[in-house]
Amino acid sequence: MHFDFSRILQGPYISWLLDGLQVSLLLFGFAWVIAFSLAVVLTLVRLTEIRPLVFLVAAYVEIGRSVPLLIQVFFWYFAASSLLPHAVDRAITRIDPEFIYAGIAFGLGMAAYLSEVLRSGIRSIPHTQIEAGRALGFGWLATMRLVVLPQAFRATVPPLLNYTLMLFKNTSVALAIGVKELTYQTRLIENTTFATFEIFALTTLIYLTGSLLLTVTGELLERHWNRQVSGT
Amino acid sequence: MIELSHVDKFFGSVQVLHDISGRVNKGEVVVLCGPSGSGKSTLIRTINRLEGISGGQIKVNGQDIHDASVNVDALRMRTGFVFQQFNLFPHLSVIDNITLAPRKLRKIPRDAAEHRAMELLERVGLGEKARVFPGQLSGGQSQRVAIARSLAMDPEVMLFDEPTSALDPEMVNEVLAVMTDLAASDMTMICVTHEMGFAQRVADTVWFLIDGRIVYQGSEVGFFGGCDDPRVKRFLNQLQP
Amino acid sequence: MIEIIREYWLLLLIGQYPHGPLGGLAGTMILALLCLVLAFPVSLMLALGRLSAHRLFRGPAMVISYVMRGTPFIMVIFWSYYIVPLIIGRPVSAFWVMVVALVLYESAYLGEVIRAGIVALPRGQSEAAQALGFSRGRTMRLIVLPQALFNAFPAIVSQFVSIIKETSLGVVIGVHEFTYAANQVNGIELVKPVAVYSILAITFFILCFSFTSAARWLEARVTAQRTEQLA
Repeated sequence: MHFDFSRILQGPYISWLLDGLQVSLLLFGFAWVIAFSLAVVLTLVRLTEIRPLVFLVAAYVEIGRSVPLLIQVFFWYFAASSLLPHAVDRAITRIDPEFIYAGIAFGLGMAAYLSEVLRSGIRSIPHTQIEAGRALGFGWLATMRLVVLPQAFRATVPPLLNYTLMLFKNTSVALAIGVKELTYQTRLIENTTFATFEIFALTTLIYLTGSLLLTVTGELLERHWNRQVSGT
Repeated sequence: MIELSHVDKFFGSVQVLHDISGRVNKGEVVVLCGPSGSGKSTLIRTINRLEGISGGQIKVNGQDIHDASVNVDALRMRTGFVFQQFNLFPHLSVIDNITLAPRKLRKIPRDAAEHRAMELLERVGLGEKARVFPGQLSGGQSQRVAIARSLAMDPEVMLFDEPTSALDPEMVNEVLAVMTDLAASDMTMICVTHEMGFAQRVADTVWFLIDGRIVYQGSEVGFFGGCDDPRVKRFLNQLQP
Repeated sequence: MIEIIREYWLLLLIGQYPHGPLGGLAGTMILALLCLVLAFPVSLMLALGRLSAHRLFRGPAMVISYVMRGTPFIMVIFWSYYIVPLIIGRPVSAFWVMVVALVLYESAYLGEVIRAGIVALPRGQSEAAQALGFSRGRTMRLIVLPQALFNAFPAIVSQFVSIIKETSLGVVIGVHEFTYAANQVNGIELVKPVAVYSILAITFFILCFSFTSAARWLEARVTAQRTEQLA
């Protein structure tokens, strides 16, 4: 059993791989923006405490977290495309339907997780903090902005990074509908060169590097904030 | 039977015990007291090696307990330790808490172990609580079970780390009563405690620590009855209501 | 949608059995349960490894844990598809490749759940056991693990929900489970994707939401019992 990395390092294969990486990163970014924006909206709706709206948000979150991401992708790509207004579907089909529907599926799916993170973060701030802010004379919005949200933010960043990592890894699921992301390209290269171990190892390394970057960022941030809090 | 020679202990760069020396004879009751942060809890935890030491020597029955040939588990089977937070095992009933170590470590058969456990439970006044679970006991009851649990291993010395500090005031006396009874039965005891009434009545010797150093080490009478050291006086005055 | 269920319910439930391997929803659940049962001892070893005092155990356990949690599950599936026949020496069915992949991947996450449970137990418990003379190993076995696993049980159920969801990726290597069956139905019907994939989504929702609700209820029960114990 010998490994020969030169089989994949020559020829067009590395550029194929980098194309795939680019698609993965674009898909990740696209989905994350949708997910985070929607999560913020969902959290704000939840905060209004209007019963039917809160219930809808809760239902959305439960569905988003219970249905596997792959099935959500299938649903959007195969089914929802026929539910959308015809013009929209046609426009999407002309650009890149696989990429766009996968991105929408990931974005809407991850929004469910992210909104829970935001909600826990805000709930973790004891009510006494709000009382303290109001007692000083700050209005509701100012109290939120100056007292609650900065603290909530610190509580949310670790799980937020965790789910961001999850989204990054889950972009690989898009290969099931033919999106030419990193794992798809990996398989393509493998089928062409039969250098299975070498290309799998390289791709795994790329994913691990991304994971490591996110994890290390999280830990550095936590350490920085802990230092701020304890005053060392 | 327990000898400390020039014991030092560091936590990182902070020295919490300075040159501690002392002797505890068989049957003696020693009280360790002092203000918060004086190192008394740390000191008692070094005796059964729940904490290590950075310098000096501790001997139990003439044997250096940090010697490589010493089995730390065997050492701990001979020393009973009662924690401030009782630390009963919540997933086991009271009698199982008491019989676990004798059965598993000394291989005593269940019947014999339970018989002895019931004796001990009667002795601490909780005979009817044998099948109950720790979650259903009060603090005072839990601590008495913890004492019974330690006694079940027939230790040579009983170590108490602030046994009543976590208890509501009305339950302190039931635990002190058990400890007084134990002292009267000639058990060698070392107690870290703030209960000065108990110390005065039951202790033979007092070790008084400030900032990890022994400031007074002598008879209980000398400590309570007219020590000239201003630090001792200040400490005793603070304790009077 | 009702017609589709009435027409294809057998296929969706148990796949092409007996004219093919057992699949459908039954296939999904069997995969998930097999994974949980087989991964549990592995995750226990990983958790204990990460908490070990010896670097010989701690290092590899940490590496395995980080690598599995940092790699997309699809890559783990592809790795297994490639390596398992190599190790066994002959071709392996997609089902068993999937089992291996699931066990490898999920034991890392399950290991973290167990580790968290152990770490959350008050230190006084292991100190009390050691003060009685129990060695580290026996303390873990008799005092720490029984309590830690009980406290972690709701989180384990949550992880089981993740396992159920991950089985759906088996469709990528042709494993006969629920998603595969749904794709087959869609391939036959062709003009009713909304109905087919809605059934797929709704079934998973009912399945996973039930388990998640059970986990939440268990969590409340466990927390109540713990606060009673610590009081």
